[in-house]
Amino acid sequence: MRTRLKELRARNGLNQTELAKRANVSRQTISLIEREEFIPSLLIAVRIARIFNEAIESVFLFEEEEIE
Amino acid sequence: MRMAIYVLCGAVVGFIAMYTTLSFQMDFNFLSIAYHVNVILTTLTAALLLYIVLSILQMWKKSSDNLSEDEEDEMDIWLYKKFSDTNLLVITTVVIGIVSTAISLITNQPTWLELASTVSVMIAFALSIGVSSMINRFYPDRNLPSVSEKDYAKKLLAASDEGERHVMLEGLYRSYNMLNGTLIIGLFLLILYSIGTGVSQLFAIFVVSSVLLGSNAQYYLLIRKKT
Repeated sequence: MRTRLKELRARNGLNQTELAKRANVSRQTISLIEREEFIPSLLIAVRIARIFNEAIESVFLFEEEEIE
Repeated sequence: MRMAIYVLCGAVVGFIAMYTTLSFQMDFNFLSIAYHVNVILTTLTAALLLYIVLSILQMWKKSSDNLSEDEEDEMDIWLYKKFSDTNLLVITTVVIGIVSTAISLITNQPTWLELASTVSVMIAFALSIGVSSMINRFYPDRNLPSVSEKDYAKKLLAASDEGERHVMLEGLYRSYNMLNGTLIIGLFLLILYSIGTGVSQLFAIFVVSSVLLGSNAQYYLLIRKKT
C-alpha cells in the first residue's frame, strides 16, 4: 500500500504531531503510516481521509494485485 | 533452510564446547577476583545511575520547552528515542546491580561493598519507576495510566494505539524468540559448566527451565484461547 499522507500533510500545513492529535492517534502511528510500514485500520483511515477532505482511496493507494 | 543451518551450527558449537570442557578441567577460581569484579560492577552501576538521573533531567527540561509547530515533531522523536534509550539503560543498570549484589553477598565481600551494591540496585529500581512515569509528562493529553496503578502494563497496552501496538508486537516477538534461544543455550552452558567443574548448577538449571516453561505456556495458552 502506498499513501499520499506526507503530500497531503504538506499541502495542509500540518506537522505529524498536529495530524496525530486531530486523528486521535500517536505521532508514531502517523510516522509509521507515512513510511508505509503499517496499514491503519479502517477507522483511522476514515478519520485521516476526513481531515483532508478526501476519499479513502485517494489517500491510501493499493496496487490492483493487493486487492485481488 | 536457515533453521537447518542454525541447528547445524549449534551442533558444531555444542560438540566443540562439550569436547573442550571434558578435555580440560575448569579450575578457575572466581573468588580470587571477586572483590575487584564487585568493585568494578558497583562503580559501573553508580556511573549508570548518574547518567540515568541526567537523562531524566534532560527529558524533564526538554518536555517543558515551548515549541513552535516546526519543532514539535523533532522534539517528539527526540523524547521518544531518549525515553527508549533511558529505559534500556535502567534495565541494564538493574541487571548489573543485581549481579554485583549477588557477588558481594555470595562471596562475603566487605560490608561497605555489600551495602553499596544493594543500595545501587534499590536506587535503580526507584529510577525505573521514575523513568516510566515520564511518559505521563510527555503526553498529558492522553489518558495514560499512572505507574502506581494496579495492572499498569495491561492498562498501558490498552491505552496504546494500533501503531504503537504494532511496534511493540514486532519488538516483543523478536525478543521472545531470542529469549527462548538464548535460555536454551544458557541451559547447555550450565550443564557444561557443571560437568567441567564438578560444581552442580542443577538449581540454576531448574530455575531457567521453569522460566522457559512458564513463559512459553503463557504465550501458547493465550494464543490458543483466541481461536
